[in-house]
Amino acid sequence: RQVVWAKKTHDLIESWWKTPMCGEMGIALVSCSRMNHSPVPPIWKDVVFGVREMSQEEVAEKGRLTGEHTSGLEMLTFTAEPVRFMPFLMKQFKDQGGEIKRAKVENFKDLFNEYDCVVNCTGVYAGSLTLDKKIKPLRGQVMRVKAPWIKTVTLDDLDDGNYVIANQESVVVGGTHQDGDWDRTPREEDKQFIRSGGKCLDPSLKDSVEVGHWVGLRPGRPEVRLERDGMDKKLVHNYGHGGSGITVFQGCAEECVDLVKEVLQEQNIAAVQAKL
Amino acid sequence: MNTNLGSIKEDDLVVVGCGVVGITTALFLQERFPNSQVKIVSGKLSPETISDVAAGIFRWTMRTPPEYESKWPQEAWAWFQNLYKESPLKTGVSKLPALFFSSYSSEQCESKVMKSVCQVYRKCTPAELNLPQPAGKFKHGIYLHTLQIDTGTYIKYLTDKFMFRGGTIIQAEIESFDEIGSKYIINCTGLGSRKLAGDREVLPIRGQVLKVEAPWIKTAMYADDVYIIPGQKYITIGGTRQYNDWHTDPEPHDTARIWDRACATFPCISKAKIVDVKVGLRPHRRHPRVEKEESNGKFIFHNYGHCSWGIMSSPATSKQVVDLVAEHFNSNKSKL
Repeated sequence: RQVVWAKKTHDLIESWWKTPMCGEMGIALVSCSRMNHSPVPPIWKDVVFGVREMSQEEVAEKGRLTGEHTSGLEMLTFTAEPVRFMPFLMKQFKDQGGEIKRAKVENFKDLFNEYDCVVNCTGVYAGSLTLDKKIKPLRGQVMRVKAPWIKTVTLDDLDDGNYVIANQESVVVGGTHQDGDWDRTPREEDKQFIRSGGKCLDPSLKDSVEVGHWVGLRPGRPEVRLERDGMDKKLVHNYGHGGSGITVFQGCAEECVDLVKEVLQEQNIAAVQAKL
Repeated sequence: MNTNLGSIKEDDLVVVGCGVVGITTALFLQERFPNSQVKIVSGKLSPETISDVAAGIFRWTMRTPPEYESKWPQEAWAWFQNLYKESPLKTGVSKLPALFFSSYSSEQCESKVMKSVCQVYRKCTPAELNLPQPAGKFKHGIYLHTLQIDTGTYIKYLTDKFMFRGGTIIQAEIESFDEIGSKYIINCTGLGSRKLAGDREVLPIRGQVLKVEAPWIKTAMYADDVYIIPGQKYITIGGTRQYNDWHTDPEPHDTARIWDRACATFPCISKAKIVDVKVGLRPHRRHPRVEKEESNGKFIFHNYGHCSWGIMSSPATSKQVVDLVAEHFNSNKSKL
C-alpha cells in the first residue's frame, strides 16, 4: 500500500521535473545512497530509478560515528523541496476555486454543520483533535550548510544514523529522531551529533559553511492513518506520515479523495458526479 | 605583470602556454627539479584561456596512444580523486553523477575507460530512457559517477602553488621559440602549436557554451549533442563542434540553437538564468603529442593537442612530459 502511494508520488514529481517550472518548484534529479537498508532488494525498488547494491568500495567510503555501514543501495530519484512547491499547489488550489480560511479548530464537531465533509490533515497535532494515542512528535533537528560541490543524497537508515541531502541553495545535514519530544528549539548536543556524524558520512563537509539549525516535529505514528472516522460519518483522516510526507503525499491524497467520494455519496450529494 | 622575456636564463625550464596543461606541467617540473628555475611564458592567462571555457567534466573518450591507454586515465583519475579528498572548495573538484543518452547508438554513450575507472557505471533502465524528451527518442543510455572540475578555481589552486614555490609567469606573445633564451622549452601552447611547432595537424574545433545559473541541476545530462554539466557555481550548457572554425566571438544563432535544443530535450532547464556565453577553440589533433624534439639548439618537449580533454588528461600528459625531461637529463648527464 505504501509502495503504491510512493509510486504515484514519484511519478507526479517526475512529471513536474519534466516541465519548465522544475526549478521554481524545487525539484531536482539526484543520486541517492541509502545505507544499511533492509530488506535487499527493497519493496520500493520499482518506485525509483535504477536501484543497485553498492560495492564494498563504495560503502567503505562513507563512515559513521559508531561502527561501520554494512551495506548500501544507490539509485536515481528526486528531491522535492516543499517550501518551493507548496506555493504552486496553493495557487492551483485557489485558481480552481478553493478557499483558505485561517482559524483554530477546537473540535471537529464544530465543522460538521457547515461542511459536507471534513478531512483531517493536522499531522502531529491530530492527537488533540482525535482520541488517537498513537500520534506523537518524532523530533528532528537539522543543520543547513553551504557546500555547492555536494549534489547527492546520502541517508543512513539506522536509528542513530545521519543524513546529508543536497537542496537547491544549501545542503541539509541531519538528524535526530526523538520520540514524544515537542521541543522546537535547536539543542547543542544535537548540533554536535549532526556535525560529527555528518562529517563521517561525507568528509567533504569539512569545507562547508554553516547557515543555521532548525527543528521539525515529524508526525510519528506506527502507520499512516488514512481512513474514515469510526464514529463521525463526515470525517476522513489523512495524517501520521512520519518522515515520509513528501514521499507519499500524492498517493495518500488520491486514496483520501476516494474516501471523500464515499462520504459525499452517502449524503447523496449530486455534485460528486460533476466535480470529482 | 612580468612581461620581460629577457629575464630568462639558458638553464631555465620554460613552459610556453599557461592553460591547464601549461600550469600543471610547470608545477610538476618544479616538483621533479627542485633545483631548477621553472618559468612560464604565455600570451593568455586564466580566466582568458580556452581551459576557462570548459565545463570540466571527467569523461575519457579521448583517443589515447596505445602505449598509454592503461596508464593515463588511471593516473588522471587518481590525481583528481586526491584533490577532491583534499578539498573540493579549494581545488574546484566535485563528484558528479551523470547520464549519457543517445538516440543513435550505445557506442555514443559507452566508454571502456570510464567503465574501468568509475565506481558506478551501468546501463540506463527503460524508465530512465524516458527522462529526456520526447519519450521514446533516446534508446541508449549510461549512468555513472564521475568528477567535475571548476577550471577557474583549479587553475588558481595550481597557480598559487606554483608561485609559492618560486615560479615565475611572464605574460608575452611569441612568434617563435627562438625568442626564448633557454635551452629547454616545454611546449603547452595547444592551438598555438600549429604555428610554433609547425604542426599542421592541429586545428580548432570551435565550441560555444552557455554558462547559466540553475542550482536545481545536480546531475549532468548528455543527449546527443546537448549537454548540461553542473559545476560548483554555474551550469554549462553546450554545445557546438565546428571543425576548422577560428571564430572566437559568440554567435547568436549558436546560442539560440544550443538553448532551444537543451530546453526541448530537458524542459527542466528552461528557467535557467544565462550569465555568460563563451567560445573556446579546442586544439584538435589525432591525440595529444607528448614527445621530445631537438630544434635550433633547443630541446623542445611537446605537450599539446588535447582537444576536448585538456583538464581531464592534463595530470597524466604533464607527468608524461616531465618523465621525458627527466629521461633527457639522465641520459645526457647535464647539470641542472
